[in-house]
Amino acid sequence: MSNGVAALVPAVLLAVSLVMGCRAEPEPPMRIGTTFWPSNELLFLAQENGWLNPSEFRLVEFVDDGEVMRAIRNNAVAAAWLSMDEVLAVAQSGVVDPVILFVSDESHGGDAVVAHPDLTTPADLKDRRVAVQIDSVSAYLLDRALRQAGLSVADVRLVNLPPYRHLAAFRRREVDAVVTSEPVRSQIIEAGGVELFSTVSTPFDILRALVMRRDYLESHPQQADTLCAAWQRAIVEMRSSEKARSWIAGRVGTSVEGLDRMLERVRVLSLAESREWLGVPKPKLLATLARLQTELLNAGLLPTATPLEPMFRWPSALESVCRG
Amino acid sequence: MAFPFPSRRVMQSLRFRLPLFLTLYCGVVGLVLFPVANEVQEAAFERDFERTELVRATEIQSRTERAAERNELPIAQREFGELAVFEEIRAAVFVAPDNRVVLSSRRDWIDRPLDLAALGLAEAERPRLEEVMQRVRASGRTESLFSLDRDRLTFVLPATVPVGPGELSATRGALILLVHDLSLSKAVNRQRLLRQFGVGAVAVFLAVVGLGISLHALVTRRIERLHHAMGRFAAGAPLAPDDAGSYDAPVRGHDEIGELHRRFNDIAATVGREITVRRHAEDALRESEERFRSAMHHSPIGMALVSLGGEYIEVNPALCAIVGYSAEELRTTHLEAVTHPDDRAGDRTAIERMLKREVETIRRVKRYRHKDGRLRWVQVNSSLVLDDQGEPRYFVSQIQDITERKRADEDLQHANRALQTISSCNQVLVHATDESVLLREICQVMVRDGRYRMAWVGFADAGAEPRVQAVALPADQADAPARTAWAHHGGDQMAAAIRSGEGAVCHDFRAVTTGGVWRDEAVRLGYRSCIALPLLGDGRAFGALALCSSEAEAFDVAEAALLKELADDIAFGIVALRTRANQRQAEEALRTANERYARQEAALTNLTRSYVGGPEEFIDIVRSITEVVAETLSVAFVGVWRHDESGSTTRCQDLFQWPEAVHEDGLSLEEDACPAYFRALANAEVLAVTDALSDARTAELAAWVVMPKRVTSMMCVPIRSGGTTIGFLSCKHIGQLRRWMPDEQAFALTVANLLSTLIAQADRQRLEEQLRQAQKLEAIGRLAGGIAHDFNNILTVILGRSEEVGADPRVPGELRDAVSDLTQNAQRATALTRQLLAFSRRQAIEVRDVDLNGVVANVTRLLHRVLGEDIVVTFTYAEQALAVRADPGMLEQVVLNLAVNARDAMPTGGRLTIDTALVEASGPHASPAAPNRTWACLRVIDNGVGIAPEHLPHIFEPFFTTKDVGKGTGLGLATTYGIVQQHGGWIEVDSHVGRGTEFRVYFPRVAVQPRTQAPASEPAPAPRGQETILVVEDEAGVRALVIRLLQGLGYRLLQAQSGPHAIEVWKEHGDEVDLLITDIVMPDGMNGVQLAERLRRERPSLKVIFTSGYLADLSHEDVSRHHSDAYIAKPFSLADLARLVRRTLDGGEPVGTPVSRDA
Repeated sequence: MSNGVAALVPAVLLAVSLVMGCRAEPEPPMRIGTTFWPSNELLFLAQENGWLNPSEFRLVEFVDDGEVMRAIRNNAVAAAWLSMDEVLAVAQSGVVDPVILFVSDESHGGDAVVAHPDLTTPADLKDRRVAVQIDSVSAYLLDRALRQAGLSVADVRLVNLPPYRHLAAFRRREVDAVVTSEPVRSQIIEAGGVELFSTVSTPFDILRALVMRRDYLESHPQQADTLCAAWQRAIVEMRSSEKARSWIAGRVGTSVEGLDRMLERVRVLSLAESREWLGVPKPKLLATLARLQTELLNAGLLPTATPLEPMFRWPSALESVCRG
Repeated sequence: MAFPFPSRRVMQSLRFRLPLFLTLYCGVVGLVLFPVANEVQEAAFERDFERTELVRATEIQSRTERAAERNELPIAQREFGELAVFEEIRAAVFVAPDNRVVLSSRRDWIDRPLDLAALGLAEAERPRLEEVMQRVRASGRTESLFSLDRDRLTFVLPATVPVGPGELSATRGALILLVHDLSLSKAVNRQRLLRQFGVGAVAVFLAVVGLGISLHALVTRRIERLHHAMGRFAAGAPLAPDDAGSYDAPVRGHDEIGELHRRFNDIAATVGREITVRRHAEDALRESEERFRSAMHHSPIGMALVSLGGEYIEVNPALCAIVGYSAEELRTTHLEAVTHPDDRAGDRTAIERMLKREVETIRRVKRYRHKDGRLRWVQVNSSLVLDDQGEPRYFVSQIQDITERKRADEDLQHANRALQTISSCNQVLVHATDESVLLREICQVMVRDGRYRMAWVGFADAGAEPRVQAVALPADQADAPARTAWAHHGGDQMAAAIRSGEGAVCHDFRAVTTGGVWRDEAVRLGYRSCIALPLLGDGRAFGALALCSSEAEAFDVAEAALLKELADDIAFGIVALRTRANQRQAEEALRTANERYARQEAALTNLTRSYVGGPEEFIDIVRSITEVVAETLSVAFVGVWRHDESGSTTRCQDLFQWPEAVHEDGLSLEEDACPAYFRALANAEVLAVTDALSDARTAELAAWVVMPKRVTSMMCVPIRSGGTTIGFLSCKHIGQLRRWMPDEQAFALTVANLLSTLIAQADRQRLEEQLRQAQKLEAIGRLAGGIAHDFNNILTVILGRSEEVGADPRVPGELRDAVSDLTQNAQRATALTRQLLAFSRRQAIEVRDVDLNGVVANVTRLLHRVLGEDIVVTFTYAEQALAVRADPGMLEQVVLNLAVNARDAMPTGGRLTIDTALVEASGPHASPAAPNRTWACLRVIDNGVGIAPEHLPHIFEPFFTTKDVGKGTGLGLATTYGIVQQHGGWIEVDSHVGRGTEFRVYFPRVAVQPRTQAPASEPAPAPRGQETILVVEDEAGVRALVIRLLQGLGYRLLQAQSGPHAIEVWKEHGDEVDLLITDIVMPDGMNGVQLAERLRRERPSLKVIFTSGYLADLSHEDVSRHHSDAYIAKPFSLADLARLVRRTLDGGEPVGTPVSRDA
């Protein structure tokens, strides 16, 4: 053994030991809470096409928004799809410091109050049984519909039902009206329901966004980047590929035409459109959230106000694909 | 850089080999142990994981079965979906006996056959799992299955599905599959094990390093030191530098190695002392030689040994410093090489004298050329050194540098010159009154007294390309600008002085290469040096004074300082002169402002006396206002603009161009074309814009007015009435940009307020005039209507009789022609009567909801034919439908009448514009009858001869015409007026002689959709009948005519001359009457409508035809009640009457709907 090699042996052994021993432990996949909602399916499409590695991203399918909110509060998921009132509720809980990654869609009729045909206006809801999931966007929508008709929540008989039970309850006439969202909304309409009120009447009120826990975002900026890029690719794929739309339609249990009709009511926003909502220095969404918070406070759907600016404040080093 | 490998000696030492061996040993052991330990750990993990996960799987099995029993599978689906939260669970499915997925962690698997590939199982795994699934279904026992690579663990659990119809026990066969992925957990465990091994490796490494250090400190290093000391001792070198004379090696200790060291020191001490003594003697000799050499080298003045031939033999550092050459260079250099050429001859002479022994020592003052080219003044003392035989050997020279002394003498001369120059310049400064004269004289003094070659002053020109502009030169150097053109381009001392605010000097142009054209030009002109001194004012250099000399090094520090003071004095003088000039300008500006105030005050005083009479007076007043404003403010254009009814268009009332004194109007400006401008106007009290082209508020006007009119500045003031902006006053300035003074803005605002008052007065007078006109026309209309009524009765008889006579075959031919003439003239009279009725609003009209746009479109083709080719017609329609309740034929007549009127106003051709618009009329443009409602507006605009102001009040009067006799009836506009009034609308007209006329007709807009007009049916032959008809007519001629006609057609006729008479006839023959034909207007206290009502009380099914010459006394209620009855207007043709009678008797639709003027 030459002098040099002999001298290197201890150093090499030490270096190898340190490198092997100091490697970080493999990370568990990032868990993202989803619900049965058309735009959520785009991430499934991204995973199907290999843009989101299943070993790095785990899409968890919850049956309703309440479960998603609970999951992100309990740190069971790192990110979740939430509507703006749910974002406020999560932030208000104080357990989570949420950051809005991107605005994914705007409900333009995707959320609605649907009733049996003998009811024709929101005013007809007085003293009727209305199925709604408490603490969700549906509650907010119902409040708007009732106020428009000069009623209040006290004027109707609320039946707290998760969305997956809405169709069955409606068919059995256990309730007179249902506050629900796509795709259940379309299913109830097909079952003979009539729409009394929808988010067509409340533009920009019901926006959904992908929200991430701040601590997770700070420690996993690259994964947030990958997520946003996959989202954008999935949007492009869905808009350009019949096959992609057909795949999504299969997941939401409808035809391609049915999916197209759903997407007219749930307008999916690209990253560029999302950036318009989240643009610095004063995000447009901030004013919308502030107005929404005031309405929720007035309606008693939110106990206290919460600061909104932190939701738009990204760790400065992490400005990337999501924020442009 | 090479890796610092230890030396072979170190590698072979004990301190390295022993730790290296230990390291290798531990490494081999670690490599062997790690896989074993990892395998043991993974096996333990798999056992634990399987055990704990089985518990969870069992719980899921239990809850799922309960949910299935209660038919609450959706609740169980919630749990299956959330299972994806757990890191290890890859998939969870609940499979029915028919292998259909019922519940799943993935929603899209539900209600589909189980796909094992989708669960992430490799192809080789699937048959194994299917076997397990069969076994579980058969046995009802839970089983688990590891994949071949043991990274996947699948639990297969049986599940009981609810009892189906006709079954006594629950059916097994359903399965729950929980697929776990252990790879991540295993990787984590593996990494943790690696970390433990890493910690162990670090511990081993630290231990062997400690071992190596211990060996080095206790053994190897001490032996090496002893070895080193022995080597040095053998070589005769000291063992320790700080231990003179001692060979004691720095090794301590009392062990075996320490004892060995002490024995060595004893031996070395004896030999070492002898060596030290000998070395000290050698050092003393060397120091003596050094002392002798340094005497010369440390001398403060230059010293040299020079050969008899003039070459340097030895030089000291002082001489080297004087000439800039090193000692080595001088030793190979001749004396003359460093001597100034002018001094070489003197050197040669001095050397010759010494060699001839004429002198022993020579003292000379001469110049050396320094290596860098500078001159050095020196004083040289030289002596000749002789050898033992008295022969010359070499020269010894002492050289002293006296350059600074010489330079001080020259500086003194320069300072004196500068002081003299300053004194002269101060004289000039004291007496200066003009800046240019001052500068020129200063330059003159500089050249004359300061004896500089050239002096000039330049000012900084801070344009796009900063330049220096020469402003003063000596009077005797008039051609100097050509020679100093270089200075304009910067880069010289002048530019540097202006840029830096400090003086800039060039000591010798020939010695420098920078400076570009300036340096070359200066050299060519014989300048050697130059100084530029900044002229400072307000802390910045606004120019510089430049002086050029024909000598190099002409400006020393002291002179530069004095010249700097002079430059400051000159700058102060310039600033003082400018300050005085500015004061004079300010006084002039104050005087101008006072004059302006006086002008404005006088103008306002005159304007406030303005009074508006009629429209022409209003225009005259506005014109006088624009003239006064233009003259007072000295602006090129002054305009008064007014918004139209819709507010979207602003029209120019008057645009005055000054001083050309040209008035213009008729311009218009659309708000859509320049929204920012109108927005700014709406929000501003005064819109004062200095740069109209670049200001965002007026930039939109660039193409329209700013650039074409070369407008530079604008001031616009909104004209407001009752808080509403009704127009604006605009003042446009051309020429240099203008900043609008506050007093000018206040003046314009006052004028705008005055205009507001004038416009309000004019509007009120216009409405009053309209009211008076309407009252007059109403009176004329009543008169005309009454005449027309009587005429209609007469004409009915004339036409009827003529028709009868004409149709009689017995009438001879010549008489038939006369009857034809009679008929034609009666028809002309009928047409005139109809127009009179139209004017007096007493003709019957057929109203329905029609679109005004459609009515105008219908007459388009007819208009082209009527107007001829010399008139260009433009139609513009409102974007929305303009539904009005009207008789479409009447509306067409309105359009036609106004168009024909326009045609007659344009005998040589012109432009006719017809447009429609929706108008929210309110305020001064509202109808007095119905303010604040929407109107359909028809505008007919021509650019013809216009209507004289004195004719305007009469144009709607019947038979008023300005045309030649025979060319017009004078009923066109009167008819139009009547139709418009009858439809509940009103008409406005604006006309300017020589420029044209604009008619605006307003109809009340209705909210319903207009109906399309049904095509008219072809006339049919007069039908016959046998029914009984009661004819009631007070005019005997008309009554007789109708009876004769209807009898001729086979009908049975009863007649009455009044209402009461008709009732009597009815009492006798009422049962026989099938149809009542009655005139509406009749004497004896009962009109036709009342008669019909009276008879219908007895027989409601009675059919009625009303006839009338006009509807003067038919009330709205009457019309409403008899809406379904037939009507025919006098005079009527017999054929029309016959058809109407037949249709009415047969139960058809009535042909006309009588409407009063109030409809």
